[in-house]
Amino acid sequence: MLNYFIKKLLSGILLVIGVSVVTFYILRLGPGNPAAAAFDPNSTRHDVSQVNHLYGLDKPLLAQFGEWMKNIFRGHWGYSYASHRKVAEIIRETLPNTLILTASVLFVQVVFGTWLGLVQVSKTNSLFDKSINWLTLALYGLPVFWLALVFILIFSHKLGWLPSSQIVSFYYKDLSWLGRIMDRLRHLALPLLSMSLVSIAVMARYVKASLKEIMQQDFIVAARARGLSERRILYKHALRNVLIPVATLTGQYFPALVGSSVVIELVYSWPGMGRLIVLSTFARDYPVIIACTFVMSVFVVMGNLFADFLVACIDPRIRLEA
Amino acid sequence: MNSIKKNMKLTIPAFLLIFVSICVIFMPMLLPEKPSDQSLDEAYQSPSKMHFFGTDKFGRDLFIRFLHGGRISLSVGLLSVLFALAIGVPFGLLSGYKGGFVDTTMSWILNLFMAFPQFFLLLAIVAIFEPNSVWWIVIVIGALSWMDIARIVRNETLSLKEREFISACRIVGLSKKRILFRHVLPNLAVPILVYATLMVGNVILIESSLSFIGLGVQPPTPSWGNIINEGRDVLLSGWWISAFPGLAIVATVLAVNIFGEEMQRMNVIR
Repeated sequence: MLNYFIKKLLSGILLVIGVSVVTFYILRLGPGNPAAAAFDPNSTRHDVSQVNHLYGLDKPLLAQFGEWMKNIFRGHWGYSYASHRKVAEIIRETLPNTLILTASVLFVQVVFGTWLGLVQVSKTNSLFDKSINWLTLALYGLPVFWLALVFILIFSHKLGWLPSSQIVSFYYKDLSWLGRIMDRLRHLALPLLSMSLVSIAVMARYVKASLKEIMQQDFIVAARARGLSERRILYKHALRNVLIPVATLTGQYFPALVGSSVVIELVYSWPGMGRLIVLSTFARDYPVIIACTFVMSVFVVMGNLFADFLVACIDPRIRLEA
Repeated sequence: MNSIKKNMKLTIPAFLLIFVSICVIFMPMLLPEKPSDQSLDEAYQSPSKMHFFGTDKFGRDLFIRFLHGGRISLSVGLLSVLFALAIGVPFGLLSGYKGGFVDTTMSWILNLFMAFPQFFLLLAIVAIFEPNSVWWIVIVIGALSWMDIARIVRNETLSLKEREFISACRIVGLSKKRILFRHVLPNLAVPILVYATLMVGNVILIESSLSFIGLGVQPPTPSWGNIINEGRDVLLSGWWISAFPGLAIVATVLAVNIFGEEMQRMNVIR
């Protein structure tokens, strides 16, 4: 068990190092001078070289990379070209917002996706099963940003029920603690809904497919032969086994989830990492772009690691084999 | 009865896709207007007989833009997938067939690429290299979506190479290249085709998201994604601008997914 964890952890660390190498080189090998982009066209060549020196851009690429690696693990992430603030500070402000959003989507996805899959299998070929099947298929192909626009149009503009942007209201500070929670939840509702509908669909389809496979295995047949009720078999025996693919899929789907948070954050003006990287992309704010990509990749690696551990905890076959 | 139903799931999406393709390929040839033709006194008109899908803030006919945008969106989808296949299939074949150290290294590279949230890396690359043509978008999206197909091909190759007919090829003394491309690859055609179909839908979504943000296909060249973006600020007064391209994306991706999934199901049954 411990061996398995250590092996996974080491490969995770190796991946993080690989990720940092790739992000650094992609960003530095691109054409154009980041320092020149940050300053006005009137600056002379001397100014530019001074800026290059200030940011260490005149050193050899390998030296720059070494410097960057050293600093990134010390928490010195440099300064943003656009706002001249510390990158670490900007990330610290935006990361929690993204985590709140993705964590709630993950929760909703796992709970409702698994539940929908289970109910569909327990009522195979019923009207409910068929309509959910079509619904999830339709959601599967929906562009999330378009769905977000539709929701804004309906729930914010036409009905006026929910706010369409920002994370809290401008009068947030005057609210009582209960009011503050409600205010946050109200702002979370639309982004959460538009993001999770698609991911619930993905999860439900996956759970259904895996459950159908599990239901044909020998131990289920044995349980049936012992005369257990279909309900007990499904919820006691099959559900435990379907948790393994659920954990795996959650890990695998995490990058896509983070990706879809980019457009959602942009549409709902949610002050998270996704919106940050888009705005930085427009501003050519290289240090922030590097940091965003790096941080999100580390989270993906950690998410996958966590999923692997979870699978190992649920499934003794995996940890004993390794 | 069952077989008709099964076929329906293949034929209806297929017809829809053919219909959409014919529309976006041939209809722009028949209509004289260009997607960039402006007529400012006709700005923001709702759908009518004159302008089926209404007009935008420059008075450009949105039906024309929709057709041309569909051309771009669909071709980006198709070409990116072809590009991804061109990388992923040889990668997976080699990794699976060689095994050992080569496989370990290649799998690690695969895992490394999969560790990036695809969309973040996409944005980073777009920011740095500033791709200004549709071809660039195709290459960038393709270059970041080959990993899944490579993994599928690798795993399939891994199990295929243990089979007797491949051993027989080796005993007869065929070259590795010949075994891989003449004997292993044809057996992988169906899973590759199924996955590639499902990928087209996904790539169309990625392109439209990118163009929606304003970092993909650049206006005045229309794509379904950037037309939706143009309607974003006038959601209340000009709902029609974003509505039709959005519905088109939903319909196209849905058709592609149903088609792909049905192929997959039939493949499993077979």
